[in-house]
Amino acid sequence: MTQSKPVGSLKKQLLLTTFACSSVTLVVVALILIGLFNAHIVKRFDEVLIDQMHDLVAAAEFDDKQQLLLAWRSSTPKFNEPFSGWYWQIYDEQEVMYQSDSLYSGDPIRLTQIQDDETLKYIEFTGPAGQALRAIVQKISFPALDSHFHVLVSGPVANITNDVWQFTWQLACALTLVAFGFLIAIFVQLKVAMQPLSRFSTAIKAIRDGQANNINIDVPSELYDIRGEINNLLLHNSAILERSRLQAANLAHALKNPISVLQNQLPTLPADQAQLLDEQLQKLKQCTHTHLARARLAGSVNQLAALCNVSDTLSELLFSMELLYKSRNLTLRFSSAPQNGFRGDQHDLDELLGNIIDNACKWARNQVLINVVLNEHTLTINIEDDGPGIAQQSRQKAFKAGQRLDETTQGTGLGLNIVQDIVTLYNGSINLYRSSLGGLGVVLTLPGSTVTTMDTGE
Amino acid sequence: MRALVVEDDQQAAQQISDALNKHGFAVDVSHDGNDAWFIGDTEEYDIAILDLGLPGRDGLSVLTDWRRGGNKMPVLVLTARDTWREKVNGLRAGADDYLIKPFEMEELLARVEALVRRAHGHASSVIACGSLELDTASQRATLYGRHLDLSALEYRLLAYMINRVGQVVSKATLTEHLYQMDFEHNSNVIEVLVNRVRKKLGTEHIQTRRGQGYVINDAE
Repeated sequence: MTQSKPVGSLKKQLLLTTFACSSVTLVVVALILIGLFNAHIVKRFDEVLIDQMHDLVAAAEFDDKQQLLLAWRSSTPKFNEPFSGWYWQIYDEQEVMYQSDSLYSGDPIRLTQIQDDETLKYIEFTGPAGQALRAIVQKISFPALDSHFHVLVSGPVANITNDVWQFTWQLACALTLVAFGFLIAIFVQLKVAMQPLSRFSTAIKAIRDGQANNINIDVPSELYDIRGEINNLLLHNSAILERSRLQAANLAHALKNPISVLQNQLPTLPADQAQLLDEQLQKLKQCTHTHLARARLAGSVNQLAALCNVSDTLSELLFSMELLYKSRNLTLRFSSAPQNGFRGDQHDLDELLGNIIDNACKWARNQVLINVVLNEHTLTINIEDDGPGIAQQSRQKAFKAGQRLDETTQGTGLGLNIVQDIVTLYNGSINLYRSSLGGLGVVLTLPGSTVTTMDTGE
Repeated sequence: MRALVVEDDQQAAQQISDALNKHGFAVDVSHDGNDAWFIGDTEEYDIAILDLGLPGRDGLSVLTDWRRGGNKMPVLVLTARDTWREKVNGLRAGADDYLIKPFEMEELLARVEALVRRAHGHASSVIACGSLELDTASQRATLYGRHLDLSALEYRLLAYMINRVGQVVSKATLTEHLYQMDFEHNSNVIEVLVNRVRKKLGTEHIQTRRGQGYVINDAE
């Protein structure tokens, strides 16, 4: 089974897209607000200018000599402050007739060109103190007197920009706060939304650890179908496994009886016929045995919920061995912590340990010792006997490395082929060594885990 | 010695029964689980050979019920069920040995032999009673090292009794253990048989306890 790596994280993706969308939205909102505010400020600014102009025009009158007089001077303080940028001028083509005190000049100069137009004009220019100014200009005519003059009222543009900048700053602060609020909301929502998913993984882990055999949690409607499908799959898987095992067992029974009968009938036949039949029967026997054993194994690879208690298994197997080898008076002992678990199928563990221990008992003189150690996720099982052992060269031959489910190799008659197959299926390892007891030592490493409940061994 | 063979396959049952017969056993055959349970519980056997896949009733439940009822006869399970889990279950249910099909008849006989011996506390296949020795593996009896020529039934009688040295064995018990079920019971037959064996052994080995039965001892 090869599984591709996870493609990104749902959480990360959601966070990124939400963050991107809300930032764009916030920036657009900010731009619109600034634009609106700017327009508003400019309008207010212009109103001040227009008010001043109206005030000036209202104060202007011609005397008998057609000389322009100002009935009163504007009292707005900012127009008196020197170089405040708030200026006004009344002028004609020849000279500047009046100007605000803020211009503070004995020799008045026109701030701008003559506008020979009677409509109100908005202009922008650089004033005497180098300030950017915004101004309105208008030509006021008195047709009855056949005379006219120009009025200019200006104010500093900085006044507008300052306000806008200030507003922008405040807006930025407020919107950043909003953005933070969004982020927190997203986090909280993600947490809430992801909770069923993490509960899902916990439930699946529980199945893997053998604490449950289906997903039994409340899920939101979006995950409802997935839960159902997974549970069906689990049920289906174990049903298929059970069925194929039952069929294998049935086939075994169906084949073995006739083989047995034929074999035991051989002594009644003439020797030459008997020999031929015997050879063929041995092949048939070998095939049924190895292939059925493998058929049982192959079915157990994909089981999700598989964890079995090693100590329980060993105690049952040793109970059986003691009976089967009663006449030999062997001492069979094992040491294993009660929570040592094998991450795999019970049948496979039974066959694996059963065959190795059976082999050890066959050769042992007095004792067989088994030691089990669970280290993190690795189960190490040592099985030693005090029999004659196997010579170094033959040891290498007993298991060829990397050999898996090979149909061409004949069984050794010791069940060691099936042992090799099981170890390979679980990515474990098996090695033979010379035991300190004098005989053969077998060391197995297998995927292990801790059994939390005592009743999962069955 | 009397054996019960429980096997649903007629031909297999016949083979086993023939082999055991040759080996000095009186054999009853049952092909059905219910029937096997009943006769196993009501008749006296020295060993039962039990198949597990049976019509009527599974061999395991037959075995469990025998044991639950206090039946202690040695039981050898002979089956095609070859996984270790099935072995463990069979032995837990009370089997004394477990042999997997296909099997060699010699292997079966050797194991039956060992079980019967073990049931009577003998470690070796040679059982001695004074100058009389019986080798249950080769089915030979010797007196002072001299081979005794015994018929199958005579050997069976001797084998049964030598496993119970010093115990009084009634005629009825002997009838039960020496003959198959379909045998017409008649106590004269036992007397005749015992007399034939006595002739070959010398009268001192087997003594008659009037009204009780016979007892074998080492005659020293």
